[in-house]
Amino acid sequence: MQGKLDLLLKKYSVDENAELVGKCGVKIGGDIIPLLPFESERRFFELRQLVLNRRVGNLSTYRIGHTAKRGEDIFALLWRELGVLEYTTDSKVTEIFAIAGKNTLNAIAETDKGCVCTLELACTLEEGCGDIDKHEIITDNGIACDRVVDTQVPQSSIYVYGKENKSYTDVDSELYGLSEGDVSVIRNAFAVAKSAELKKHNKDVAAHLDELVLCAKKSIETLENIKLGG
Amino acid sequence: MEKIKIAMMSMTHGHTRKYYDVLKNNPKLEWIAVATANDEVKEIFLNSVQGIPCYDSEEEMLDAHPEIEAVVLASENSEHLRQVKLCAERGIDVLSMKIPTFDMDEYAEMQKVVRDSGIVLQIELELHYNPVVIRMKELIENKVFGEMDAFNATNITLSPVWAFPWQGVPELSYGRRVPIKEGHEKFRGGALCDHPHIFDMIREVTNSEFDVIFAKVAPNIRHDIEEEDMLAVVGRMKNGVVFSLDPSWSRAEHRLKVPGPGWEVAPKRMEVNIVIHGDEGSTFVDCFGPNTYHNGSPDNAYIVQYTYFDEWVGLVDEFVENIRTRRAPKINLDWHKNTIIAMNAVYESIATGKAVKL
Repeated sequence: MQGKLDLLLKKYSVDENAELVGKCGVKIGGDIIPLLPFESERRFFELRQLVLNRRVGNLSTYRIGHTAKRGEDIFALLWRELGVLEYTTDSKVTEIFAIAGKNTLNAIAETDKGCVCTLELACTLEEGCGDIDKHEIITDNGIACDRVVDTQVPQSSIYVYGKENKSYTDVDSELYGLSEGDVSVIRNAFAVAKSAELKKHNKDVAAHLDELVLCAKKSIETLENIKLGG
Repeated sequence: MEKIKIAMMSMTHGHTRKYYDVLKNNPKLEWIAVATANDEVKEIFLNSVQGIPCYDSEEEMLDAHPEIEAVVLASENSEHLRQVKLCAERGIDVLSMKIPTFDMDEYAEMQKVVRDSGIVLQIELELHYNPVVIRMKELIENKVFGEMDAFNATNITLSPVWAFPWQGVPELSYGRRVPIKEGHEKFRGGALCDHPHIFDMIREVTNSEFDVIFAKVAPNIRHDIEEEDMLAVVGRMKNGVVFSLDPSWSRAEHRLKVPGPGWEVAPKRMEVNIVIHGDEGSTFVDCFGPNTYHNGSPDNAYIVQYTYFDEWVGLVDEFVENIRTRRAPKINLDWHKNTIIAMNAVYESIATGKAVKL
């Protein structure tokens, strides 16, 4: 992945020494900037455009479901999905109620635009199974969704049925061969390397999401709806 | 075995038309008559079904046909107690629509009437007879994904209020006019009152009862109706299974007076999707899919073609069996009570902004 990032930095003459720190951060000039890969994922960019350009109406509800692999951190998943919610609706979560099972977490979050979002999260899938997620924004003038209409699980671009059944989804020709998730990590790191403004933005958003996750943990403990800063 | 002589009352409920085929075609039933609540539904019925006597008054129908043994109460929620009493007085068995009443005093009265009269009262929760649900229960029973950890479900539809106006009137749907929360312009009686199925299903498949419920109402997507149309519910069952339930009217509709082609905007009128997470995996269930699609008339919108009502075949088969054997229905008033209590708790949580412990 570092090689692909270097390739972009060189191609576009970005004069920064940017070093990936896992998939969560990028080290630039001694400073580690948290990454927000979802802000560089095309489907979320498109959802955000639908909201910002008023192709859909006033926000009502937002349904987020994300099932990840067993052993992953459910609160890291919550952090990401709250980020997706805020990015795609261009709003901030102001309150959250959360309840947790063994490997599951359900929550209702409300944003400063009055959008009520349900988050249904789980870490239950076996190794080798891709994450199953869906984001559906419901407004008073239409629905926006990042998954194929009337389907339950993500679809692929190519299906091969032969001696071995395989499927492929390629989303970036410059970063050809990488998964959708890895592409968004590199794209976000590259965007941060190019922009001082984004360096600050990523730090601010990450700190805010950390605070929201703490609120969710408090809600799980107390069974109370927690207001941010309350 | 002699056929059961059955009738229908009111004909104002959205599920009315789903009984037409099954009452005509079930070999164990003889459809005797209907009593319509008003001229509008009378005209719709007469345009839809031929050869069944249609009365303007329930009493007139029952007096004219003392042979009637059972009645389908296809009526608004506010009529149920009165109609149950009317039937019980005559020893007539009842198939009630999905919400007997939200008023727990009325509910207790209805239980007493049924108990004292000895009639069979079955509540219409047709999801139990859906083949996908039958398979899902089998998978749960066999623990193919281990012990259940979470149950998340949608029961989302278009809003039926334009075709079935009583569902847009708080007094007729919820039973009273109660603001959804203080200072809010909407009233109880909307989407939640239309969608008890998932509140019922989770109780059966977890073999547990509701412990904690938290709910929020969202901004309406229909600004010109009086009731809530969008809401979200999360919580936990007493056995620890967490849940998320969405009973919203989140699918858009064309405002037809009589349901038919073009009622839905896109892609479909109804969705019941269930996701169950266990300690050994997850399962994703679409109770009404996959489907057939088209973008032809009347709107050239990409929509589902779905015209069969399989669930009512099994539901009516069970009703017939319950009547003949005097067996208590699977979904009876005693079982259903905790579902209604949970739905009332959803409204309470919305009103108070707090989780409700049951």
